[in-house]
Parts: sequence; structure tokens; C-alpha cells
Amino acid sequence: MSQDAVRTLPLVEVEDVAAGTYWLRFALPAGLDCEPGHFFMLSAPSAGGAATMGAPFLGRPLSIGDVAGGRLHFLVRALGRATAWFRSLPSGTPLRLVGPLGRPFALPERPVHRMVAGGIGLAPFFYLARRLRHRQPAARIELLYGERTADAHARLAGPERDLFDLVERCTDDGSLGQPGTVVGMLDGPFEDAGAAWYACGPQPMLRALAARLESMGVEGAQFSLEERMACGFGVCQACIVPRRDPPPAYRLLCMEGPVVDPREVAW
Amino acid sequence: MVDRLATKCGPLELANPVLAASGTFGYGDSFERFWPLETLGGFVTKTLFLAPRDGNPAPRIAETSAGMLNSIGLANVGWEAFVREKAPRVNALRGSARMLVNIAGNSPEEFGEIAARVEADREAVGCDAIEVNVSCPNVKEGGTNIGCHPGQFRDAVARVRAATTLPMFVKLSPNVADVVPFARAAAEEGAEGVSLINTLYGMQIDTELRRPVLGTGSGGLSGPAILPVGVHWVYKVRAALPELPIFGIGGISTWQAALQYLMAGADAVQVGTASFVDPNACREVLAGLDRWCAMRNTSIGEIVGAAHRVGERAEEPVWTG
Repeated sequence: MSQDAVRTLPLVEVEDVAAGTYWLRFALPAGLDCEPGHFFMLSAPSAGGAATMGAPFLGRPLSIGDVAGGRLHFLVRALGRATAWFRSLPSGTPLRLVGPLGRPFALPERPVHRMVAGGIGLAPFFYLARRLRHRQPAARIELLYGERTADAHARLAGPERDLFDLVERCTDDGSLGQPGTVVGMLDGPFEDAGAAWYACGPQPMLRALAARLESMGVEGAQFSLEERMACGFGVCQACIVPRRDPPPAYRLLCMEGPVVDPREVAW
Repeated sequence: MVDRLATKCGPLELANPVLAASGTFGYGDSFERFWPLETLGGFVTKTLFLAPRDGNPAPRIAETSAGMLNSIGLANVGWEAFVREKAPRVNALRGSARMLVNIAGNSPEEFGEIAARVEADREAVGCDAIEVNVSCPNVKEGGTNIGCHPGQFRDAVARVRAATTLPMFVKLSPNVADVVPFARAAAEEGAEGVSLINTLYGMQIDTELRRPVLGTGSGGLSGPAILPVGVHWVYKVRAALPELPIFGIGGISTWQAALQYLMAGADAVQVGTASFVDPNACREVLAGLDRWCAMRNTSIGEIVGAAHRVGERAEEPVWTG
């Protein structure tokens, strides 16, 4: 990473795409080199946050949603103090972005790339699909996307929808798409182990998916995980993920993730 | 010409008064991607034990209204791995920045043991001083904090002193009725100086789940919330023990906060939690102090302890409206 890893960028736009879910968009900084699966820490730019009214003290890790149209996009769900605060900001508000951070997705050569998203776990897959589309134009890119309810499902604008050859939606309550969870969707047409598998979502979903993929004999699946973190670059030691093969007992998600092989995690 | 930033903390000559605090700077090599290590007056490593420690279960942090709670649990690579894998690289990077190794143990005896190892490896490690973290739980005493127990505290400090001739700074806990007797005890047991303060005890409850947020229940509070607490104790220790060198720590995220510590009597400061939020925090605190000193035509050496010297107080501005 270069020494300009800390940037203050003005917010260009906040655009709602579902109940509580929104795009946070910035002008793409010149020379920014980032990969799908990388993340940034976003925070109020005043030192300590104290001088910005209502700003949370700590930054928040957000995975890159997309890089397109000269913009850097983050898909965010207002679930707590910071994510609600970001959404309330007027265009032009400067934010501090530290990054890109973490270990991104690998892009293996495969005929089929299958992304499994639970809730706001949808976030990293636009940029992943865009890169795969560019690198492997003949590959088929599929998105399996689940939410609890229909109103939580993100609207996908035409260009975003077109990144995928297939978008299959489901809801826990059956109010949109197939009833049930994204893991349940694997029964049937999505059982081939030869695809490259990617997943992001809540812990119970990822745990169930990890077990399912293991029973299918899938190797090299890539899960993007979440954990609380204060820094994003290995010093605060907060973002621990239990290892399947200790010692050591934990890995730091910011340095050895957020993209990990699910077989290395003690779910 | 006098260098306006150069200062001393006890026997340590510092190119400037800004250090990175223990537990917020890794082992010295984590900020390489942001700015050169030699920028700093010095840095303090993450607390090292003899053996590696995994630390506590998640969640390990919780945001508060002006800071954060942590219950990392002193996770560290252990002394041997530090000597082998970290120290050589950090030494190559640090230039004039002073390296303080922060050490701890689960009993006063363990403090003595790791101090002896530091002494044995001091050439290989190239450290300039030891900072003694007495804020860890005392396993022998049922988990109470060594730094809050006068007898255990004195015992731990004395054992470190007996084991090494490196300059020793003792990092004091604010979780006591009065920090001054602990500072005095540290000095009496041969410490070259004190670092104050460490985090304050705190807890946050998740009201939906009806349980503490942190995996361990309670943790240590840091960040701007604790700035006035740290300034208070630096002022009190300086007043009681004017000759005892002090590193001021606690809630420094701006150069103005650093200036408060220096005027309260700190010889130098350590920036901690602010570096999590802004990796440039140390550098910006330093730049602000430099600008302020240049503008006032003064130096760090002149402002240390200024708040104690009544004759130096500036006149109240005259209202001419």
C-alpha cells in the first residue's frame, strides 16, 4: 500500500435502494488501485471525530461495493450508529477513507462463478462480477441473493443487474422470489462443485453454507467475513476469527481476511 | 539554534515529544505503509509476555460516546518471536525513534523473568527502555489488577529493576483512588519515570440482548473521553514528584490535547487510540506542536510543566469591545 492510503474524500451521493439500504458514492481518487473484496475504513475526518456533530468515534469497515463510472461505491445498510450517520450526510460532506485494506478475492479461471449473498452481504459482489466479466468474458456469473423480506431486497439498476447472467432471489417469508434461505436454494440446480463459490452474509448463513459446500466437496470457496474492528490494519487486534487448526487460536480478519477459505474457520 | 521539538524524558533523548502508545502500534512495523517510523520521537511495543497469548474471545471492542472499550486481553506473539521476527526489521526502520518494549507477566515473578530476558537480549533487540505494564490481571491473586494492589505493584517493579539496567518506565493504572502513591512507589523502586494513564475500567450493555457487549464483560476505556482524567493525574504526579519524568497518555487525538499534557507536566506524550481511527494521528499531533511552538517562538522544553508555574501564566485578554 502506498503512503496515500489515508484520504479525505467528499461524499458525492447517497442513494436508497431498499428499506435502510443505500449506495454511498465518492469520486474515484486518481491512482486508486483496489481489488474486489478489499475494504476501507470510513470515519469522520476530524481527529477523534469529536468536532463533527453526531459522528461516531471509530471508523467502520466497508467492503468495496463497486468501482464504476469514475466513482467508488459502497453498499451499506443502516444497522447502527455509524451506518445511520453515513446515510444522513449531505452531498459534499468530507469523510476519511483508509484503504484499500485486507486480502481481496482471488479470481480463479472457472466456467461458472456463483455468488451467495445474505442481506447486506450483497455488497462486495458488484465489483467482483465486474472484474470477472472483464477478465473472463465467457464465464457465467450467478447471484443467489436472500433477504428476510421483500422490502429489504435491493433494487438493481439495469447496469448492475447486467453484471450477472442470473439473479435468483429468495426471502425468509416468501414475499419475494423463492421462499426460504439462500442455502436452501442450493437444492437443485446449484449443486455443481465445479463452480467458483463466493459468499458474504450473516454468520448463521455462512456457517450453514460452509457445511453444505464441504458436504458437496467444494474446494477453494471464498467467504468474505465481518467482525468489529477499530483500525483495519492489524494493530487493534479486535477482529478475531477462530481458526479450525489452532494454535494460534485466532486469525485477524483485517490482515488475513476479510476473504477467507471457510474450511479454515472454526464455525 | 535550539531544536524546538527535541526533548528528554528522563535518560531518553527524544527528537520530538510524540511517541506511539503500547497496544496501538503493533511492534513498530504496522504503520510503515502510512509514514516513516523515524518520524516519531519513539514508540512503545505491544505488551510482550514471555509466552505467546491468544487474548480474549470476541467481541473485543465496543464504541462509546467519545472513545472505545477494549478487552483484547494482551494478545501477543511472545518474547522469542518478537526478538526473532519483529525486532530486526523495526530496528532497520526506526532511525532516531526510541524503542520502548512494553512487558508484563501474570505475577510479580513473571515480571522479573521477562525483564531478565529483555536484559539478556537487549543488544539483539536494540531497545532503549522498558515500559512495565502493571495493568494486567494477576492470575495468582485471582485476577485482580497488579497495578491496583500496592504490595504486588511494588514487588513487580522491584523484580524488573533487579533484572535489568535498562531505563524503566512504569505505566500506571488510573483505577485507584490516588495514582500519586503508585508513582512514588515506582520511583522508590528505581523507575526512571512513569507513563500515565492506562485505560479506565468500563462496561457497555447491549440492551436488546440484555448482556454486556464485550466477550469478557468489562474492558478498558480509551479515547478522547479519558483526556481530562489523564491530564489530572499527570498534573497531580508532577506536583507531588517534580523530578519524576512522565509520559502523558490518555485521549490524545489532537495537538491541543498533547499540549495540555505537556503543560500539566508530561515530558513527552504517547498517542494511542487515535491512531486506530486516523493512522496519521501521531504525525498530525507532532505537526501541530511544531506549528504552535514556531508561532509562539517557544520550545517543548520551555512548555513542559508550564501550568504549574504561576508566573508564566498568560494575561487574560483585555476586552475592548
